[in-house]
Amino acid sequence: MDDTQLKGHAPVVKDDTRGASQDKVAPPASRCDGSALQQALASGLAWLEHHSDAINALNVFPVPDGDTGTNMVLTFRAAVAEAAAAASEEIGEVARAVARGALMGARGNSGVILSQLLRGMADALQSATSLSPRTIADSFAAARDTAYKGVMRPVEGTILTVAKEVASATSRAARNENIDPAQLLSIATESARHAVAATPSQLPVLAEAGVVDAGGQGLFIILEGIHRHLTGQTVQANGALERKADLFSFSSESEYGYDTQFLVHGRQLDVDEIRAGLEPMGDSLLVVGDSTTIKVHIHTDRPGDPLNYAVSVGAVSDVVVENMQEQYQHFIAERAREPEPRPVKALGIVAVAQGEGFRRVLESLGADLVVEGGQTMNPSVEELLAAAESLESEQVVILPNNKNVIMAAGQALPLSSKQIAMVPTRTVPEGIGALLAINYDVGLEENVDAMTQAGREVQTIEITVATRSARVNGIKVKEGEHIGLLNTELVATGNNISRVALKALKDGEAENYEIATIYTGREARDETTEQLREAISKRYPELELEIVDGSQPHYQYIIAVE
Amino acid sequence: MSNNGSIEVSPTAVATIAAEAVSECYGVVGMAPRTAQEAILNAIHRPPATKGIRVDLRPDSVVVDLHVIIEYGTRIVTVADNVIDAVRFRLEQALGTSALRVNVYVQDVRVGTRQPGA
Repeated sequence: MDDTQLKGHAPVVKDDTRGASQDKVAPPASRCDGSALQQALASGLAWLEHHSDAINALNVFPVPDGDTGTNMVLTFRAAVAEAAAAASEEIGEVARAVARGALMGARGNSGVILSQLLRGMADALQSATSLSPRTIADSFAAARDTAYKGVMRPVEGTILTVAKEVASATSRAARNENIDPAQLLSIATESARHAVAATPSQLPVLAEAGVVDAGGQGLFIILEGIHRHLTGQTVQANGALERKADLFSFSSESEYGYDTQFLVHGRQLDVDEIRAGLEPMGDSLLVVGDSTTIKVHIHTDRPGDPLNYAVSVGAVSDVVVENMQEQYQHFIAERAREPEPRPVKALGIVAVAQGEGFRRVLESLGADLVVEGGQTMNPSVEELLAAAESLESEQVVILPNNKNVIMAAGQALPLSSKQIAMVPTRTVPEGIGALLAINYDVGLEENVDAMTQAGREVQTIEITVATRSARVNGIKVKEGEHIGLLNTELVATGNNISRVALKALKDGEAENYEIATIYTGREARDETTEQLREAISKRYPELELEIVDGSQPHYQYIIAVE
Repeated sequence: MSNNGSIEVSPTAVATIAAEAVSECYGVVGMAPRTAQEAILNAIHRPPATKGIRVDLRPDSVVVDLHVIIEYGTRIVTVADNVIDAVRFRLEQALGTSALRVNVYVQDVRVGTRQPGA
């Protein structure tokens, strides 16, 4: 049974962004299927996280659940976190943890629906001993059944419809005994894709706005993420993939010009009769209420007609007439603005960095695309290439910003149809220095020279914790101690961050420079930062100090001296 | 009050809009009469659309009480929050006022058919 079971492509989520072809991972023993499930879901989560803004953008209506992408991410994240902490690696145990996490973490309407889908799955997986295609298909069916129960009036054209289509398609497919989990997930993903694309034809409000259902899109993305995981494709967020992201858009202009809504009050109003009376005047007609109050919603070219009709049967109030063309144009204009229509730059910049803060800094200084990566997560040649190719500029400079990435960046150069050059920056501060030296009026070669030169003029000090004991450059390092690197070479070690930093600054001859920027890492603590700032300004009173949030992982502090 | 006269919205109209909003909320599987007496009255007089909804039009605000039945297994707090958000949003839109109080009473939890062992 082993080869027909769901198997993870080992650590795709954290460390491996190099794609499938390079490493064939042995299937884990069937006992570990719970962890395979957990990894698959974690990949779905990573993929979802990475598309959540795009999903949020589908919420064009000012509805309360206006951030479907965010809500689904928060809910699913809670589910995956709980699964990671599951007591055992039994499938049933992990599935139960997933359901529990989703329940506790559910946010918004879409989150509650997602939690119900996961609860249904968990119920079906309770006594499962392997994740065979049959089991997976059954769990999808159970997810659908549970989710449909939780609503008074299921509306088609939503995440529920997508769940239903996935369940039917996979149930059919699982009858074939030769199918494997990756193929089954491929079928699930494809059926979700079609179901999402069909949502505007099922829900007129979506068609009007020119979007697909956000929740359904979210579910599709989760499935796609899992499928990518099973086929060894990266799910790690990076700028290049984001641009290629396979998202639907749909657009149509409603036939009628005005969205008209009002209430009709009276005695013994006849809903059916009023509906029949209004029917010929437009489309998207909605007539609801009782014999005393009726709410009417209609799209029409002549809003006067339904109103005239309504006053003939009762008293009219709460009249709202909106010009849909205007709304639509506004919406189109908003959407068109989204990927900012920048003029094509002659020179495009791809930078590699880890940490939101660094990303912001690089982007604000002119980097067109920041690919996530660094010390522990090196982007692959393909990713760098895809990033460079995705820019509109014909000439592209890559800033690897890490010693380990320089080689991959170098390999990407000859593979592109574009003119690509690399400035071998070893750290993000070097990359920032290089960015500042760009002159858009001169050619590529001249720029590369100037950028390389400028990058080298920056002294980078990195503070991190030694992961093992060793002797490097004649310095003895104990595991757990702080270490200071000057331009990626180990120069200081000790238990006190400030002292380690001062030693590295001394080696870097900080007294000859003017500005020091302290980039605080994800793990940096405020009081430590303050101590560090004080220590540096006391020792180097001439040095102008700045503190910037880099949010980089692993390095508590990165100091740029220039 | 407008310049041309006055507009009054009946509690039933408010309840109808609220009911419409609630029906869009995932996790709510029904509305509950608050008392046996109301259940009987509901059956005779009030249309089913506004069952379990009480609207109190006060001079300075509108208070809407919703008595709902929620599906077992959903997070009740989240569903109730969603209900409050949705109803408040629809009513603000329709009535043009934000002087609203929306209270949710979870009257019951419906336990559907459950697989054993879960």
